[in-house]
Amino acid sequence: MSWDEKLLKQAKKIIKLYPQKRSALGTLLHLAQSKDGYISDDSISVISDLVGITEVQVKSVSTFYSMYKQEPTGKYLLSVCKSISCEINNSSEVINKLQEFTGLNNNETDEDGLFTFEAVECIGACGGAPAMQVNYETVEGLTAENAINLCSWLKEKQPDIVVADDMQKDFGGVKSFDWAIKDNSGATSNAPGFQTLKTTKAKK
Amino acid sequence: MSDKVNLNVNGIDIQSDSNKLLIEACEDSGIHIPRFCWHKRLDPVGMCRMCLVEIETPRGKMLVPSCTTEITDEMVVDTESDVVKKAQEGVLEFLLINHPLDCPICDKAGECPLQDQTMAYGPGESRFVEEKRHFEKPINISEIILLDRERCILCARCTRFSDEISGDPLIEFIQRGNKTEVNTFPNEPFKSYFSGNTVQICPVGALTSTSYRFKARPWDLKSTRSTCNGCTMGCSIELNSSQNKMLRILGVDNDSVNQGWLCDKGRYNFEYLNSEKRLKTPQKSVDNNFVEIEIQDVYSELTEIIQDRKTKINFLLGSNLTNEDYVAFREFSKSISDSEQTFYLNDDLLYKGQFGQNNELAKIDDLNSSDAIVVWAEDLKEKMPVLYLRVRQAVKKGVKLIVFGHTNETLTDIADVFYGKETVSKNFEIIKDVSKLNEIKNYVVGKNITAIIGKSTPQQSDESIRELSEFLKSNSNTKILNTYTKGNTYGAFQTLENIKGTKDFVDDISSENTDLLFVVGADPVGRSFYSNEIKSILENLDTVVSLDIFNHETAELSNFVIPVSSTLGEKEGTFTNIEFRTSRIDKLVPSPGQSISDSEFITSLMNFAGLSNDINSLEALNNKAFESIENSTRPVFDNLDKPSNLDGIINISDPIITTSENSSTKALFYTGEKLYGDSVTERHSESISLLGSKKFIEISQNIVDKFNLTSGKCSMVQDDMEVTLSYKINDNLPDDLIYIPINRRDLNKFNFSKEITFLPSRVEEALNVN
Repeated sequence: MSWDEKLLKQAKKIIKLYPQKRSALGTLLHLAQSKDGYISDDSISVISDLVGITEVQVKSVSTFYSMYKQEPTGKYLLSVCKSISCEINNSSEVINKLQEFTGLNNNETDEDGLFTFEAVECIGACGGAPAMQVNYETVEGLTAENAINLCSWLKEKQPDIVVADDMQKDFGGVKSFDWAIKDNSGATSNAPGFQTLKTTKAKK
Repeated sequence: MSDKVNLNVNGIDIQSDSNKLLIEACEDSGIHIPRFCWHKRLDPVGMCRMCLVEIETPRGKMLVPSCTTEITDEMVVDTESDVVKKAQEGVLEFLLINHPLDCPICDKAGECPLQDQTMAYGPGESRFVEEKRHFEKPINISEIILLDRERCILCARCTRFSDEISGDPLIEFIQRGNKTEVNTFPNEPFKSYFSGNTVQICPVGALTSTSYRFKARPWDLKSTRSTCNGCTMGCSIELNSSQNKMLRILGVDNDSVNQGWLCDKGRYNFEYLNSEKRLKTPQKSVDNNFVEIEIQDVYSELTEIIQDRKTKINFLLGSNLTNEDYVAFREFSKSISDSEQTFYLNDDLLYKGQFGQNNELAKIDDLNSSDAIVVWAEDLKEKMPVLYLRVRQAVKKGVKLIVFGHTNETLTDIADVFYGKETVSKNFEIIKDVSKLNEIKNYVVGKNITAIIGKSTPQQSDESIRELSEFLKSNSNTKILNTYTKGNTYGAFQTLENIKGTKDFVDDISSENTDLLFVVGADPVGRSFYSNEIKSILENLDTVVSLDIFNHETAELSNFVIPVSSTLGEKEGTFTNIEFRTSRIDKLVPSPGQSISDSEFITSLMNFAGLSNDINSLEALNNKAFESIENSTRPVFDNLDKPSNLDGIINISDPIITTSENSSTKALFYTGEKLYGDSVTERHSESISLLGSKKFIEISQNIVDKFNLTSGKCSMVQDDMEVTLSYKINDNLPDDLIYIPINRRDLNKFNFSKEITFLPSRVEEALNVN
């Protein structure tokens, strides 16, 4: 067992939220990812024991969904949308420029383990296209220039918590909607920020 | 029963049960719809889209997959329209895009659904000019199964089988989209007792077995239908041979028995037939050396012994004889002596069982129709794997399962109630008052029960087995499936009177009451729990004649060793299974050298000795075997060969087992058998020998703690014997109990009624020193 007591306790708490153990699989995989930055075979073994299905069944699910990473990603996972609305609003320029800036091809991680770059399908921010996510925290109304500024800032400051609202304020433009509640919390890892997983934290 | 539904397929009106899928309803009416993923024993998934057909809907004609569409009344279906044809061409074109088309080197070619259906429904020409997908070719997903991912069309038959049917999903789809592949978890091979079935149901050549790979072409194969004699399940099988060599065994879909499935032991434990080490000539022991001898000389020497009126003859018969062989021995003994002959079966677990008027006997199909199944027997998965599948199937349909005993560890995960070490003692007695166990009462009282009841280990007393069935019978409508697991045991029950087991053999037989002993198809010295006792008995007897296909530890103690034909594939005859279903055993390949069948040997000997006999043909033996049965249900060749009787004929009869009561012995250890061992046939079957040669024991957690075991290895020492083996922790075992799988050589040589020193430290000490 490569999970420490704290994590196991958290996992068992999550399992209790579901009618069947195996229903917790998806969330547990996110938890595993928040621990290592990817789904390791060790984590798969632990999860398989926890939910009572075989390891290969866990592996099957974890390799099916692209948000579960099979290899370690950088500290910041840059996901730029390439779907239709963003593409019309020139996301390809954002993609090209970011690739140039980071020196990364699609699904690559840099040697310092700082950035992983990926071009992804729709992230649900069509109203603010083009959009991207940093560790699943969304920034809308981008320009290529702002996207590079964002990455330079990440590179320089290397914040432990990335907050969507902050990044939007400094680097974003038009938003899909502007009536959302202000949210000061952000992602602590490259797993989506869920309160149950404790992968989201308020910034001090 | 379900309602009938009328539908119109291709302009023809057909009728079918309302709960059927369209593809089934069409199949039943003789309309074939091509398919890859759909298999009648698996849940539909609609993966491959090959079975698209057009149905009329309020919104016009629509293409639907017939394997996931339930039929409705007045449904109008077209399976041959231009649209359907175009769809089929399209589906095949897509499937072939990533298929390597390496048919010239593929084992499946010639019997390949993808090949056949491409011929029948495919576009004929490929438009794909790009580079195909590549994978490493092939990979070993277990010791006996190979996977060629390039050929896979992702029908999910293998993954569904392992999940739904065998319940050990160790293979799954990995990745997705264009990258999807079937694979195992790293370092977690597809170790299933049923893995061979995935090879059989694979609709392409993606899954192959090491055993058959590159051995033959389907069009060169000779084949015949027969019955597996590996355990008492009696699965229907198809034997395949080429150039007089047995090459493959396939499962045949016999609805009441194996439904097409086989265990890997049944499927691959045939390779010994082709072994160079098979006995080929009769041999005689002269001054502790075996010399070849003419069979005529064997007859004349034995005749001399037999003709001495005072000669006392006994028989120790293996469980792998046909009914006809058993009858030959019966008639032989009748012709020499008027007194009733006792036949000893080579079975450590033979006990009286629950037969007679007070017991209603169950059929295998009763498992599905009962309210609950109660299991109190050897571990079914280890000893009768396909019966285990049938229990699983019943449980999946909603039948409750109640399991007793720490031996049935493999059923615990699907059992509704499991009475393990708290209820069953080390001595295999149910320590609690059954009538006071509340959980079982809820499931049993007033319900229809099928009870799978048998003896689990030689240490168990007969009385302890009966208690539970008495409780069941008095509280519910119980049908009993008496569970003896060895080969054609039920055939012996039907053909022989006065049957005893090896325990009684040890108690009864001595040089005083036996001058001549026939040991037929049995290696008790190499295999039995009573190995040492039997060995010393055999050493003291005047004449021992061993009939077998290999030389083995028992044969080595014999005066004569006669090479005989194997019941698998080299003999004709009949076999009777656990529900007294008699079916055909057929011959496909010749026996090596001078091997003859057991019955031929006996009848020739009788002729030579001038004993009157009317069993000079197999048909005569077959008729004699079932004399007492009414003609229409008599399982004689003529009846069995009728197409309607290919699945066998059931004649429940009450055997006379005269074995003496066995009271429980002091159990320091408990012994049982795992599916794979290293019996003489397994040793000579390449695929199986890989699986059964490892020596291990299972121990309870408290032993690990007590001795502070860490290395995974330990030694067992008794007198001058020492065996080093690995141990596994089995949580179902009561404290301080060690389980020893004795179907491994050496392990059965320990005297289990005496103390065995268990040395956990030997290896660890050695490790510590370093």
